[in-house]
Amino acid sequence: MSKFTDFIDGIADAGGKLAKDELKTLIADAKKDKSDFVRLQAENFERWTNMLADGDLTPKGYKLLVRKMEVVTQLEVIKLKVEAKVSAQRLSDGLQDIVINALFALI
Amino acid sequence: MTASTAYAGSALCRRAGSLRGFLLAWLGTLILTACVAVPISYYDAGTYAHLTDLKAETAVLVESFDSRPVKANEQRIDDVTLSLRKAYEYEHGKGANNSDTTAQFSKVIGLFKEDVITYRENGPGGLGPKYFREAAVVLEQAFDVMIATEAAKNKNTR
Repeated sequence: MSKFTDFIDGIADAGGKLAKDELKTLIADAKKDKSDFVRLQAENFERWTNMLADGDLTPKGYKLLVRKMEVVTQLEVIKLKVEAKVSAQRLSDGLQDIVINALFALI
Repeated sequence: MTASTAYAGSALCRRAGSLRGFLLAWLGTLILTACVAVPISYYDAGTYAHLTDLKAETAVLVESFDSRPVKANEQRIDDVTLSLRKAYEYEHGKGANNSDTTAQFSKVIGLFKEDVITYRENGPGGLGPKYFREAAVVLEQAFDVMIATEAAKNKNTR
């Protein structure tokens, strides 16, 4: 058992609000994701949870850091959108330069 | 050649001609559709340089929040805030085609501002002895996403 899973298992949750197994699976799967970004965020979350367990972060500090993950994820979503536009632009520019300006002049 | 074969040959030519016309029209439509201007700015070496510089400046400053008193950092906070504002205005000035980068920049500046507010409210160590070291890591990762976004853009060779 890792420090992370020990800490999650050790959280007192009499009301059963926290789906501990799902959380552990979520992070374990994210750490194996093919996306570098997703793996990095999972590692952040695990490291911060361990730091909370060690007292290097207060609960308030931990919550603030985890909320920052949402912002970084929004940045990644914009990046993915830009990459799609860049592909479309490459096709559009190529057709204009190579097909319309060059090929059309020859046929 | 009989009259009937000549007629059949000319009909075939007309059909081939109309098929060629159809294909050309279809190809033209396809190209025109593809050639609609894509609303995205081109790669900018200036933006890339700003981002790599600001990544280092902001991260070093935020890391220092774990140990330096707020008063000792106020001037540096003002300086870095000004640098961020200048870089944002540079991006904003490129117009609507650069709106994705501008949106990213707003979010990154928001992360930095939140770090400054948190620092002023809690001081060094108030959120844990290593809180701002980790906040700086997040800021660096945010800049990395922006840098990768800029690097992915096409170079304008026109």
